Amino acid sequence: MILSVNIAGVEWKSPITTAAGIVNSGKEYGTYTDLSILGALTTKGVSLDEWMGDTVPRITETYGGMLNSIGVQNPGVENFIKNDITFLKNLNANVIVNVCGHEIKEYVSVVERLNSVDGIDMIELNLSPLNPDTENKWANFGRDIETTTKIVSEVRKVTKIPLIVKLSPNNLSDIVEISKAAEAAGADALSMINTLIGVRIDIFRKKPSLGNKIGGLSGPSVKPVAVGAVYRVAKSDVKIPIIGMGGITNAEDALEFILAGATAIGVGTANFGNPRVTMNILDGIKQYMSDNNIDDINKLVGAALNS
Amino acid sequence: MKDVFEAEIISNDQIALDIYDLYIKSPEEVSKAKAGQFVSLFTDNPAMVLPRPLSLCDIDKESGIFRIVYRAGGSGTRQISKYEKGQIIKGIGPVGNSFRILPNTKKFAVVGGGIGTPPLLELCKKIKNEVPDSEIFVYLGFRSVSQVILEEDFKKYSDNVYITTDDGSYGHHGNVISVMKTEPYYDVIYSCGPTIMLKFVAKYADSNDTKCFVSLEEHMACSIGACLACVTKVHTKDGEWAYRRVCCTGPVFNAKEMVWT
Repeated sequence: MILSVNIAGVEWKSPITTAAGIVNSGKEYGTYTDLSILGALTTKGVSLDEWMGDTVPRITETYGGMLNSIGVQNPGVENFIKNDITFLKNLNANVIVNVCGHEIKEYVSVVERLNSVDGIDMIELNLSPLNPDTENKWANFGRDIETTTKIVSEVRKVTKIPLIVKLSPNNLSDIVEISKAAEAAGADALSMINTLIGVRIDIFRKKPSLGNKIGGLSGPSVKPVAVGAVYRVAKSDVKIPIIGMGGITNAEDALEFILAGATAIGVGTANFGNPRVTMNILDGIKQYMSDNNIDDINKLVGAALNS
Repeated sequence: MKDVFEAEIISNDQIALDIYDLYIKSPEEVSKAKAGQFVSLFTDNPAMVLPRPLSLCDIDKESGIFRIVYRAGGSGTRQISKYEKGQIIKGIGPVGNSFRILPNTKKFAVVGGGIGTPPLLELCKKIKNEVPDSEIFVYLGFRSVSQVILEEDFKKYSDNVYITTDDGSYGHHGNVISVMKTEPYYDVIYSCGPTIMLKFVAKYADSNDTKCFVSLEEHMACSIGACLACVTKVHTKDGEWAYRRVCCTGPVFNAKEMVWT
């Protein structure tokens, strides 16, 4: 049974990664689950300098999901390299470093720094709609074709490491058009979706539940939106592979994304409800393949697109 | 590798307004647990994506049973409150640091507020076991008589248990700080409860040059240190502040470290 997939020239032993910002660099989750079954581990967002993150409460549960505004708390790229790279190199899975910044030149500087580090297999650009820019407005680097083109091409100029661009559907633009722009600007792969912007109100305190007021929605409640994004982009003339994510909790969810056109899948929020969920999903995919006499996972990729 | 535990519910009874008394059997986890730690319990409702971190009120190494006294305040804990004897509940833990007992401390103040009270019971048991000539003063504050819990349990470890209520419907009318001030000194103070109460306990400790440890509560996602949701501000050596994770650096912090906001 073939479970390996190829994303932008990088061979993954299984089609599963962790969504950025969930397992940090894997040290904590590695005590609960076998991270070596992953095709890749995606790290938490890494910025140029230390980011302190948002005020608490940073998370609140919603029906079938959760809102977060962690604010990408991270120690900055130098401390990331010093503290986490050795651990990541020994994982026996590909390492995807998620990169974030307040402005384009910060993304470029982080990627330039990562170029010289051994053990990084792919870079994922976090174009989250929630990242603040230097004036604390929403930077939303994936908001339109122009901004997406600019950031992807600037980063592309400075690195040969395979580049994944992470996108989210938003009301300002069509994710298919943004995906085309990312591909044309040099992206090697796409990951989708990032969280959706949301708010929960605490009816007793009569104010938003999150310290940052606005957060990103993740979990099972976003899944149809995420499958829809993957399906539409896969059906378009975008050629680069898609890593699908958004509410994946079990093998059935993962298979929906794969059949909709994702070459691999990412698991985020579900790790909180079950630290071994990635192992369970892989087992479930194998079971499905064996039950349905499928010898190669790649035969399932996009199988639902031609119906 | 650590695993999610599966514990049998021994009993799960209401003991006060919205407050439940849960006993679960999980010998392996109980054998490892320390006073001040917590477990995170999963509901069986897939619409609830996060575990519920709940403090350990009693850790009975002989029977392998955790006692967890919790408030059914949100959707998850309300769901847990409906689980019955014999059902299996999943969880992770025990998680977090623990209450440390410092050498040469004899006179203890234990200050609880509302649903912050339960983990202090296991602390009192620990003090009684480890410091034979200890003197424990327990101050427990609640909103009203309908929410008063664990008074008799604390009396097993202390002859000085004082209850206060905000509305005066039981015990002393007012807050715990005013009652604890009637003793001239303590060697150390331990506290768990609402942040505003912890802040005043810490202030009292600071002005009396008394060692003080507080146990915090914060919204958590993973409960194991990865997600960085449950942070709290602490002073750093360079005069700045930094975020520390309540789930694994805490939940117990030296009150002197805390940046109160």
